[in-house]
Amino acid sequence: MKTASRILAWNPLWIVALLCSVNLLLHGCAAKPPVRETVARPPAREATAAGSLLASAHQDVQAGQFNRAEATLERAIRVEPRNAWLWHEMAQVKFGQEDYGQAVQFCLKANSLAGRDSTLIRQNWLLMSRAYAKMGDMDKAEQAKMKAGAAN
Amino acid sequence: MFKKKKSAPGKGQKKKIKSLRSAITTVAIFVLVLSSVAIIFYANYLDKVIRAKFDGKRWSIPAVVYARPLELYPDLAFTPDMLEEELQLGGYRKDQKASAPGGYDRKGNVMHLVTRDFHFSDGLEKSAGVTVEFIGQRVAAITRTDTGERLSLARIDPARIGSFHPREHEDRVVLTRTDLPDLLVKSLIAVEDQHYYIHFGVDPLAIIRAMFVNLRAGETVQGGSTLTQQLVKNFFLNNQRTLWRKINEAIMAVLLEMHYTKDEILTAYANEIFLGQDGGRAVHGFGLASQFYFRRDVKDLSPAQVAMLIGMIKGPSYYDPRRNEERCLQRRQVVLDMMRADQVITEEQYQTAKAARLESSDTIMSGFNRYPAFLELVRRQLDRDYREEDLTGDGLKILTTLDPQVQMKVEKHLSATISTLEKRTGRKGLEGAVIVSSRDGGEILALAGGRYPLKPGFNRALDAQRPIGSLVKPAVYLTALANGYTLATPVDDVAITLASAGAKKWHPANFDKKEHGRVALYEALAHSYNLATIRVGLDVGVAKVVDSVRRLGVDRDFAPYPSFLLGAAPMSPLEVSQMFQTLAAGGFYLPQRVIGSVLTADNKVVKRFGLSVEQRFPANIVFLLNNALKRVVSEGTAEALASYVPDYIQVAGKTGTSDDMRDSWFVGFTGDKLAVVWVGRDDNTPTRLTGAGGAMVVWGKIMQSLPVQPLELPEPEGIEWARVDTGRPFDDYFSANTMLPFLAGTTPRQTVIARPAEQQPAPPPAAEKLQQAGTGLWKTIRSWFH
Repeated sequence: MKTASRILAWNPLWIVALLCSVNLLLHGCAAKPPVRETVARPPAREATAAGSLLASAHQDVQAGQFNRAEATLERAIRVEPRNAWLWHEMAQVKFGQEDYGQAVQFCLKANSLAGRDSTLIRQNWLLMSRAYAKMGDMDKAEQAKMKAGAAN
Repeated sequence: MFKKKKSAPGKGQKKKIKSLRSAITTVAIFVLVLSSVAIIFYANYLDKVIRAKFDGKRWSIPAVVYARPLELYPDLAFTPDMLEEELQLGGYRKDQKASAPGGYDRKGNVMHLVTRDFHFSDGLEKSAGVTVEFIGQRVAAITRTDTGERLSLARIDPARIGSFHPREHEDRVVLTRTDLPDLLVKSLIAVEDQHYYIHFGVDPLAIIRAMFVNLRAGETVQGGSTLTQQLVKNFFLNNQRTLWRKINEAIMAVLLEMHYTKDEILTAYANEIFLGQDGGRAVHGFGLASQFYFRRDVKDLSPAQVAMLIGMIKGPSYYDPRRNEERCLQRRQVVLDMMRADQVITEEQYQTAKAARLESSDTIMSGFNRYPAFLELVRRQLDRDYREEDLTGDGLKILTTLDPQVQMKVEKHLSATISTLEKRTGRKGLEGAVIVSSRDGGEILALAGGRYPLKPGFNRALDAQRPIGSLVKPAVYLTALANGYTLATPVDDVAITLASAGAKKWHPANFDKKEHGRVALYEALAHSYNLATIRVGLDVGVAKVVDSVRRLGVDRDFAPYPSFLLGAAPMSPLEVSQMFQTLAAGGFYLPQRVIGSVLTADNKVVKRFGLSVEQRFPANIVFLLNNALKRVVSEGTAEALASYVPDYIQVAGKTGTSDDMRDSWFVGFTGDKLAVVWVGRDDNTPTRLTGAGGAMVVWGKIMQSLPVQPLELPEPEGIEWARVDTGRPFDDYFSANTMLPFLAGTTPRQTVIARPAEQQPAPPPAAEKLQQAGTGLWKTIRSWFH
């Protein structure tokens, strides 16, 4: 309830979350042949459960509270497991925890769910590029950067 | 002279004797002092040991295991009935006003409840009054009861589902002195130690009496041990009947009585006494024993039940009610006689108890330790993933992934469907196992280790190792797709003979004993054709298939024999579940988890094993395979699933049947859940069930009863779709036109033409030849497409 009420107060972050969700709605499901849309639709003026959790996790990431952000994101993923933005945020958490291998893996997972969301795909490759650089793998870092450039 | 002579040495002798005496006295005193010191030291040592042990045991509070917390949010598929069920499991009480934490009040489709404070790994979730409104099968809105403010999410404190000592391989339900009912205490004293409240740890009268009885009988028939001595024995000593042990036991018993009150010792005894064996786990204490044998709390035991448990102290396995019913019953009657003689029970109670049947019930009383099969997995993952020193604290909280809703449905439908299947096949003794996990999180939501969820013993979900039959085929085709095959690659489902040095020739056959000629790869998977699978598997190499199975998450060595391609290798349902988890998650390996986090009693996070992912197979290859697995359900061996789960769910799955129909398997996943079902017999004899006829029915019934989401397969980059004309005349199995996905650049430009079996070249008899010819043949076929 804490997170929920925090989010319901005016907060620029839930707008971010809302935008993310809308983005997902537009791009998240690109599989052919088409299947029924099941991504949770945010009510007109309300944050979705996953959206509010994402915003809360995002705040924690900004504040360097990575462990709490991780737990919150796991909750969000339980609610909306196919939401690629949640997996990307998890990659950010892993990066913050200096677990660069997992940061890359979560970006790959996010990409596998991103469909045609080029904004997200680009962000994933950029983060992967930074993670590879941290791991000292400059070749892969460079490749990832190029893929980020190609994602637009 | 003589005398003198005699006396001279006499004088000297006297002196000598004197000095000898004084020497002896000195030595004796020395020895006495030394041994006194030694005894004091020894007693002191024993004292320390016993106090350390007793204090340690006395304050040892078991870990409590929780289910997953229920998260409610608008649009969640959930009903008020389900919520009420959850709340009751969590110990909520129905309360007209729902005014205090842990209370709820339901008015039709509106539920008012007040949650309780709960510490999660991400912090404290404060108690809150919440109103949940439902419309149809969904949550419509959640509001704060006081302000009416809308909430996007409400997390309810989770239900307690069990407790155990993580470091000890035994369960315990720890009782305090006030938890011990009078009936139990009085009966215990009447039977085991009549002078308990008088003696000082040892009861000389009882020992003398026992000696007489034993002498007369010529063997040991009665023990003179007090409860205190028995407790000491349980704590420290082995079961050998040596004098040394008896002495130690007596000293320690006296020491124990010096330090602790009678009530403290009695309570420790009641928690410590060994009362049976549950598989590999010892059952200690009356608290656990009454759960284990009667599924009820100690305070609810009847005189007959108390008598049975007390009777079992003498020999828990000798008087085991489940194995030696008659013997146990006789012993109980003896105990009842003693209870009446000491006026612990009235004549009327005695008569009722004496006439009572020996019940060791399967029926359920409370929600505690209600999911033993799941808890077993919790215990194993604790052992595996957590360091021992992390688990030393008292009162740890173990937050698990168990979803009570799913678990209830799994238990219900496994049990009911197996009964139906028994009637249909006319064979009794069927068993089964189920594991359900979340598709993208790898969290195990429910687990059944047998058809009777409360019956302790063999946990088939974890420990049954059975040939997986055709469940291995997805691994074969995944390997093929990663090695140049497409879903439309023509493959020959034609007889083949395999020979290897020193072994008999092997003539594998299809389930229907027919050959199906040239078919597209996806058809071979959808219809589970054995001959085509063997040819494909041999072409790519059995070792590569074994490697795929390993990368899918079954990290074991399997001999790369051709029979591996038809699933001869045995696996547990849990291993199968992990293997398909990787496919369901799009090629990402995620270790399946049952523990979310472990917190100390003061709510510090001990350690978290969070979500982790590792890409093991390229997303595009898995995408192709999963599309083919959907066709298993839409047009293949699992077509009958449609009568349970509607088409739009688009389940991807695979049936599996082992030789002679000994094992019936089904694995499938929806948009949100993966489930594995095994049905078979413990004695490994035929079941007369195929995968679709047995396990799939259980799977279908479970999913039918749960809200499930449609399976969407997000399309990775570089996928092309093409309409494939299999060229096959329309028949029962195939539609003439099929849309299939291909990796960019591999889409066939020509129609795939299938030829009837008889027009095909005769297959080469030996494996080596096939390998050669096969490779050439496939190359030719594939070259048509490039």
